[in-house]
Amino acid sequence: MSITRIKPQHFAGVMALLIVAGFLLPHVANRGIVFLGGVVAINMVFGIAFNIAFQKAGILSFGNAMFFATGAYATGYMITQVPQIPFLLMIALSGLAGALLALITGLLALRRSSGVYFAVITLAVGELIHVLITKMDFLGRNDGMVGVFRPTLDFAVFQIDLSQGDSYYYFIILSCAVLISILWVLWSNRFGRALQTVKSDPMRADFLGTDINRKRLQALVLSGAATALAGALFAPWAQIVTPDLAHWSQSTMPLLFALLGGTAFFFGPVVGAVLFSVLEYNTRTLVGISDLMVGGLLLAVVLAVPGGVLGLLKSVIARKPAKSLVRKEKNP
Amino acid sequence: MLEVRDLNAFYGQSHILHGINLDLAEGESIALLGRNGAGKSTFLKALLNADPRTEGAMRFGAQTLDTQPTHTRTRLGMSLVPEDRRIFPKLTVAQNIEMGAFAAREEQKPYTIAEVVDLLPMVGPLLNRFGYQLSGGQQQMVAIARGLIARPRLLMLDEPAEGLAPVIVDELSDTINAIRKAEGRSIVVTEQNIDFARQTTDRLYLLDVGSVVFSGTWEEFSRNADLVDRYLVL
Repeated sequence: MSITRIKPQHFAGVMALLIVAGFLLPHVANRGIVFLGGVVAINMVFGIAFNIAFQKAGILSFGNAMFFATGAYATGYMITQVPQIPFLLMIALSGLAGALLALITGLLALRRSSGVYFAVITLAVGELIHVLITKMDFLGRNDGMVGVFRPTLDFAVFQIDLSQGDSYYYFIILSCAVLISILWVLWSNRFGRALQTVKSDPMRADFLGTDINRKRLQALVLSGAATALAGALFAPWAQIVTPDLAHWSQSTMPLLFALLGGTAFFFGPVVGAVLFSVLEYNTRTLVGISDLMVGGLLLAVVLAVPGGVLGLLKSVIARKPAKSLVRKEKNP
Repeated sequence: MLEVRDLNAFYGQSHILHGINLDLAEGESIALLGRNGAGKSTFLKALLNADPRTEGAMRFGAQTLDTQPTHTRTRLGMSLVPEDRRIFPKLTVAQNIEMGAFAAREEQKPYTIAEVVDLLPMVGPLLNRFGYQLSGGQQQMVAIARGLIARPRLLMLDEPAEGLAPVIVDELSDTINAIRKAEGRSIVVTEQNIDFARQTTDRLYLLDVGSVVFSGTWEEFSRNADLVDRYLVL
């Protein structure tokens, strides 16, 4: 087990808690909170997808919003224009679109740049995508795409109408649980460890036969695909897709989730996404100073607790046994 | 197995290696001796296209080495255990060793972790420790195990005895000799420790300021007593 890996039983326990909490939410909260719950679940995937490239492979991308928007627009377009395509296939195709965009971005930029330079290139490509979206008639230009309805899942022998009640919310919870589980496997297995070596010592990884450029590209494509899948889930949830999804400011969101929760932890972006939403929800009525408060609090957390909330918890837990041992020694 | 002809290596404008010629047969073990800065590590990195710019001809087996990147050369069967070991601190020893299997050649499966432990028994009790929990000697053993798991045809050890206690150096010497015997593997050892190099290799090349100033057997080296004073004593 690597130091960044969570034991399978711990992972299963946390996932069970998240799924149960997700399933209980519609029974205890109003529709606004339930909508927010769906967004938080999607943001968890958004954050982990970013962090797997950032923390594991050392790829800092400021353009992840373009992958999210690609998934959202692809699903939105298919639902409104070619609704005969099965919904699960739409989601898969949206993920593929995100993977393809990540592949093109990676092939263009990853071999020629790294670190901040790569981040700036992704920022530029992201803005290019944002501008392109606003110029294309079939994507609704600045108005975006409206009428993205929640479709029906057709399994031949039975159907599930996702437009009824909270069906689509439960679909989001289960889909995000599956995506998070897949990302956890990739974070923890040999592929994830190889990414870790590429980040921590690229020259050594190269000496060991690892094609570091290919591994970085794979990490970016994985991140792009997972982010686009999150975007694909988001489109029917919001029922509207606008160019704001591709705006550069959206690319800061997964970074904030990861920093707030702790980039070194698989569940860091999960904690960050929850805390960020709680902060945003509770300051929503403070018109004008809401963004300032959220930004200020985040800055404070990042500066005061560089390891994020989970990093802080870990250090507190690590200190406790030491103190109790000292007490025992003093009072045998 | 390895032929190097008129190899020159450069870091930027600095000319580090000057016309190196070297031959290594299958199953043979050679030492590269020289003071700090003689060009020993640069030579190993040049073989792997790792850092310096090179001119000259290099051949490994049937393969001419020209533009292949480092990982491709490694996958031909050339494995370098660098001077600073570079154990990944946040991976366990078993996982560190497992990372070396990316260098396995298509035609030959890598060793299993158990087979590596058979070759390097000292590594066995360490498998579940993290990289940051190892002593210098343990790190060296793990670095060798990691370089060995892909069954390389050529194992290159850059100053393996540096910084190790004498008792560990003796164990390391036995280990390297065991590895030499296993599957007739070729070995290049760069060293400043003459005794260690003598125990683990068949013959030697002596480097000074990037040039080969002597090559021959250990007997021939011993007959030229002034070589040590001129090229190895600080």
